Amino acid sequence: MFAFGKIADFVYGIFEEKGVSSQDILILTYCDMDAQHNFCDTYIAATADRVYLLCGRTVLRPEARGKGLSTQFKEISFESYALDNIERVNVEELISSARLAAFCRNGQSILLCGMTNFCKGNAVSFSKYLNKIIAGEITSPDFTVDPEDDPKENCCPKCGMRYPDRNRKICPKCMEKGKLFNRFSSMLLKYKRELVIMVLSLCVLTVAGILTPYFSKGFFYDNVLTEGGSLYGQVLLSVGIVVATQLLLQAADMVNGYISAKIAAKIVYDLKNMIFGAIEKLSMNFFSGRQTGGLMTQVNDDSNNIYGFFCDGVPYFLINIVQVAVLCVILFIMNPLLAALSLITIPVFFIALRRTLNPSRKLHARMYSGVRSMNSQLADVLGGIRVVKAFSKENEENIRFENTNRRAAAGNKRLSLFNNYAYPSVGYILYLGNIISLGIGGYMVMKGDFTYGELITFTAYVNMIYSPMFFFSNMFNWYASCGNSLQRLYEIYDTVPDITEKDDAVSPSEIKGDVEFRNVDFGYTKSKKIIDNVSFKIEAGKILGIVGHTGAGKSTIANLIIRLYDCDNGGIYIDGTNVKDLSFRSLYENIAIVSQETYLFIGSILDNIRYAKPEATFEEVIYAAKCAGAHDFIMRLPDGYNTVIGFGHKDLSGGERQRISIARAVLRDPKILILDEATAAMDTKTEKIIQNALSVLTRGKTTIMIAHRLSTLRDADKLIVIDKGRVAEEGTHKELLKIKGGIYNTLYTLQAEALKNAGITE
Amino acid sequence: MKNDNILKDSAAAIVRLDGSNTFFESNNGFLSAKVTLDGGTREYGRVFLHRAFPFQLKWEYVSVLDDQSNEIGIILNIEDFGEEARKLLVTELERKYYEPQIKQVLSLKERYGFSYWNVETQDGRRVNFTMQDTFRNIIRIGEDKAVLLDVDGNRFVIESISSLDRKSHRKIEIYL
Repeated sequence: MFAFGKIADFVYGIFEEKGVSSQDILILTYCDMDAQHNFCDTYIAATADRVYLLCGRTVLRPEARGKGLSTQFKEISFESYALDNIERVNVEELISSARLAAFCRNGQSILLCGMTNFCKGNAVSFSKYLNKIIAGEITSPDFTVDPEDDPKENCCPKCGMRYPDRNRKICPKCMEKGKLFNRFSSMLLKYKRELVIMVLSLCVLTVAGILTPYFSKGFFYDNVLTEGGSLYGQVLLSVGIVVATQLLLQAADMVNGYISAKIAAKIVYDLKNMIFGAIEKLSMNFFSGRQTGGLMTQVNDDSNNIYGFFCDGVPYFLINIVQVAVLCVILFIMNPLLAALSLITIPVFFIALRRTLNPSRKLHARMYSGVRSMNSQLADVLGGIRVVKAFSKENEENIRFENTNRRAAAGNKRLSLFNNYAYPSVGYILYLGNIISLGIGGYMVMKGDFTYGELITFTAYVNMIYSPMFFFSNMFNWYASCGNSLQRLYEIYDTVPDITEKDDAVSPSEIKGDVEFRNVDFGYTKSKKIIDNVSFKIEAGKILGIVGHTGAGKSTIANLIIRLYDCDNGGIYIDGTNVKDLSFRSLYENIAIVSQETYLFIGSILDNIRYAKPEATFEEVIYAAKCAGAHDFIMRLPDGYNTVIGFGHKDLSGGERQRISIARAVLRDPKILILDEATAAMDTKTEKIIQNALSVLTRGKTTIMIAHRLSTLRDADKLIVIDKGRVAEEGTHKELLKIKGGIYNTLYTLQAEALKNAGITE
Repeated sequence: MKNDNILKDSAAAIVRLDGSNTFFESNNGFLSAKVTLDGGTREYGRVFLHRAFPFQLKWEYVSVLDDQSNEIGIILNIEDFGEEARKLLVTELERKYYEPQIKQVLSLKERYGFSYWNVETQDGRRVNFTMQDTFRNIIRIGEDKAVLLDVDGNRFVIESISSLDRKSHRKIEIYL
């Protein structure tokens, strides 16, 4: 038996009472609504032949004896349905909730229960396995559940809390920051020698830092200027000592600064390299769930944050903490009472600071939110400036901007005002200690218990203790935010690509180019199939055309062949070998794809064409460009093939970019060529030119052409029509045209008519 | 003037469904319909409703779709139907657009990019939910309404931000 989600023990008892033995239950789950979408506890259990629905309300009641609470289940209804009559079950997504429906063999449907999206994930997994039971694939309790369907996989093993994000298997509650820092520290060990020098220089800094005020203040007055002092009258010598300690301080500071700058840069470099390397390896799924622009900014910001913490924060913190500790000891030795009195303001300061932090954080957040909305509005309007001008909406946009700008400015003003009075007031609490020590110390000097020099040194030391306090108060936040940055970066680093190469992946010496789909199912999300039981076969060297409406799943088929995604069920075979068993190298070397989205990298046209084969000769490049119909327009550019894209504000048109990417694919000379709407951005004339060129090129290669415009597919050996993820029609152009009222026939007639109206005959 | 032209264009014309041409029925809790248009009468075993302007108009401009997601027509206003049909439509729409309303925010904690909410909804239930990227998942509708989207895809609505109690308001104000 497998329970999708946590099910309390008493539920099994109730099922037993109803005559449903726990041993017979194969799967079980919980939903939080009934069929009418009212809140209640619904438990759904399935045995090999029936599905049972137990609806009720769980109430907690104080136990008659003792203090504990007992659970009581108030049953509302209990129903069951024979699985023989059910064809399949399905979780239907609504806007913010869902419902579980069963479709019967007699055409009727049964609404089993509703649920909020909290329960949807488990219900989707449940329905998947219930369908397997209906299909007779599962008959006994000893079946295995895919890890992705196991709700436990989505929960923190330590505290049992569900991960807030399924794709990030990280529990924010149990995340150990210490471990993250340890892990990062192990990266620092590479720079052992530098770290030792840094620590030494820090020691020197601390000592020199303490000595400087001593030699320049107390010692100078008591021993040089006072009669009977050990260095009485030797002003030059004592000034020399002060200069020497100051020079030592400067030198240690410089050494420390030099080394920390040097290793900091290296560490950030290592960090970015590590993360970028990891990002490149990740599967498409990772990227489709995130905004890539945001991702790179995030990586950059995070590395800088870590850099700041480790290279500015940590050394400064270490120097100061050691210094404060040493100074406290010295102060207590000098005069315990005075020391205690002057340090008493520190805890008061921290308490007061904590109180101010909360409003300050809110003001900060408000200011940031104002600035953020202003920036995003600005980016939005500037990006769409053509539209703004075309509809002459400048005035409206100005007013809109003025509003957000005013909000941002107000937020800024309030924060500045707050900072202006709050922090100095809190800081003043700290300096009260200084006044106390000055007052009581002065009194002691008068009484002769304390020398004047000692008092000056004392107050200087007290000030030295106070100065890093603001910094210390912020250190914990800094530590937390650095921990967060580290976690984000390691998360990217630790993400295991869902598409991996098998250890024993094969790399056939030659690939013929047979491609076969066998009962392939696929969906970008678990509950929605984009490709539904698709099977087709194409022999090596033949051309397959894929036709269908926008969003029918055509491009997904192409993505599956090159394993940008892996199919959920069924398999894709190249020369009879499952693509999952082929090595990435053999896959990518033998398949080229030209898609609707063309991407040209920064650089020249030549570099871009050569991207697939850097060692290609000039002749090969020209040949490829000619095949793709790109040669002529390239030669019209002043710099020919060396034209740097984007240089001198000369950008290429969509069609031109597309032709360059076709040339790129041609140069690779793959066994399997996938053209995914490759000629969509071109006018009919250019398309014809490329079609002719491509027909030469595709000779002897397995070609999969995905197109909207059916005229381009007439020469295909076989066509499949994809409709809502399924193969709706299959055959040659002539065969498909014969299906009266078929999708292909309809589309073809419509398009031919449209072309005729435009004056183009084929 | 321009709008008239659009409405008259046959391909873009709205197929208007009302009590005179459409008969709705509940079939084991699923909505089915019989529609009589120029082309004759058709029976649909299952139909789906979809609001065109869900944030603005709850009972107007409701699209009726068949099981292949093709639009059969649009209900301009559910008042165009008799009481029984209206009841069915309201039930179906309320189920589909089930969105708990937040009455009070009991606690709100932010940790590592996630915010953890504990709220009391209009129907008196206490609900815990988690939001990621909180700023981006709160949509403001007009001046006073907000829709929150949690990590599971649940939606929560604050119908009137200004009428929230002070404590709740203070908790959420930084996100607004």
